[in-house]
Amino acid sequence: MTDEPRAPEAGTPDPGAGRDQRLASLLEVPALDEATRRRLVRTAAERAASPAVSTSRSMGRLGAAVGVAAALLVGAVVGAVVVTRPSDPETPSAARASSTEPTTAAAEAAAPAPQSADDEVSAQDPSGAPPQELGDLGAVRGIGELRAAISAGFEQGAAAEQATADSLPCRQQQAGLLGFVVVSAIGEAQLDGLPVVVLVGPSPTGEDLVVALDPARGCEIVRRVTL
Amino acid sequence: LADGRTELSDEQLAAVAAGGDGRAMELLLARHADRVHAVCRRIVTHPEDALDATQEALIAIARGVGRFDGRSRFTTWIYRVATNAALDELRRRKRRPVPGISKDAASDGGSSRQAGERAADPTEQVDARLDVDAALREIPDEFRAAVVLRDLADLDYAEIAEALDIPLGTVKSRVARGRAALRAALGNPEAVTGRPNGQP
Repeated sequence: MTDEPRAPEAGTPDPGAGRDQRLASLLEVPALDEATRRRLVRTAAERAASPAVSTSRSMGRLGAAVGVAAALLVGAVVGAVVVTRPSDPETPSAARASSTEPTTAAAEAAAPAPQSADDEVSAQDPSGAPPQELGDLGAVRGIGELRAAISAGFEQGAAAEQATADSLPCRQQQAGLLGFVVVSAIGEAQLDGLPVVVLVGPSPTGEDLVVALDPARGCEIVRRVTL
Repeated sequence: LADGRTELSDEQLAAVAAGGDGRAMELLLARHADRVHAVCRRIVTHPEDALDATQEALIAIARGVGRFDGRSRFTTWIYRVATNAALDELRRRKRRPVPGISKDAASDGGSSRQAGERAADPTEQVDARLDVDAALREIPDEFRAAVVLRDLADLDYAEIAEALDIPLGTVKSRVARGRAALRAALGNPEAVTGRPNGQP
């Protein structure tokens, strides 16, 4: 761009140096409302204080969901071992069931409560816990709304599988290529009018990430931000 | 506040916050949140994206306060961070569809946005008659940033040069031409001395 200076010479009064009061009044922006200001400040302070620690309410739920998913995986493996040893007199089936029963709302969100130990074993993929399904997060504008929708998705619990054929390739992206240690939750949304697949999970540095992928453009990354 | 933190200057509060005092950090951020938001709002010209930029700026301020060296006014540093966050947000937005600003909407100043959306943002209520956002969108980002820092943030040329990391003469040029383009876009033909639509 050619914006070479056309400023007055040194020592010459610059008629444009003062503030343009008319523009100043036109550009004025009303103060933030107290709740918004507090939220912005609190989030910034928390992120700065503990960048590697989950700070939002949704991340608390995410952490719980990931923890429970890991616990369920361990439980499933243990359960499978127990089921293959049905004659073990030291381990009653009721005890086996209770040992792997989810105990938090997040756990209920992550997977339906098993009716029996056998049911639970068959419901779990022994190769790894599947990401939590957040479902359709709806139409959101900006990252703030997306974060809120993800939070609501965790809150609402397990949704039915929402995958569309178009979104499947994005859902199957390798976590590592997107900067995740593991993808712990998946949903879909309309981000600023663009249909996206939303992946949530921890990064190697411990931050919780949100990555929005555009299924119509080869799963191109649309946004990649901390949760 | 009884502990006296509120009596501290920005620079003093920054030093305390940098030492790990969380309450000082919150006070410092709260003290400047509105001005950070105002700069982001006018540079980004979109309310939701401006809030995103504001959040990113406040995080950057909180994380970087320890690197503030005191050679400039604290507010100048704040504006520098806010401007960078806003320009980053604009760059991100250019890589994706602009919410509520379709080509049609942009050409009519965004008036095709739903009334409910407009009413939700107090800045847009104020701007409804003149559509300041639409006028701001007509001028190049770097000119807009210069005008916003001069006339909204009231930084002098030297501070703007520091905030934008550009020469003083370039600041003067950008402010002058940005103002002219903005006045023209706002419908003040007498002030049209810059390029149409602020294009190079």
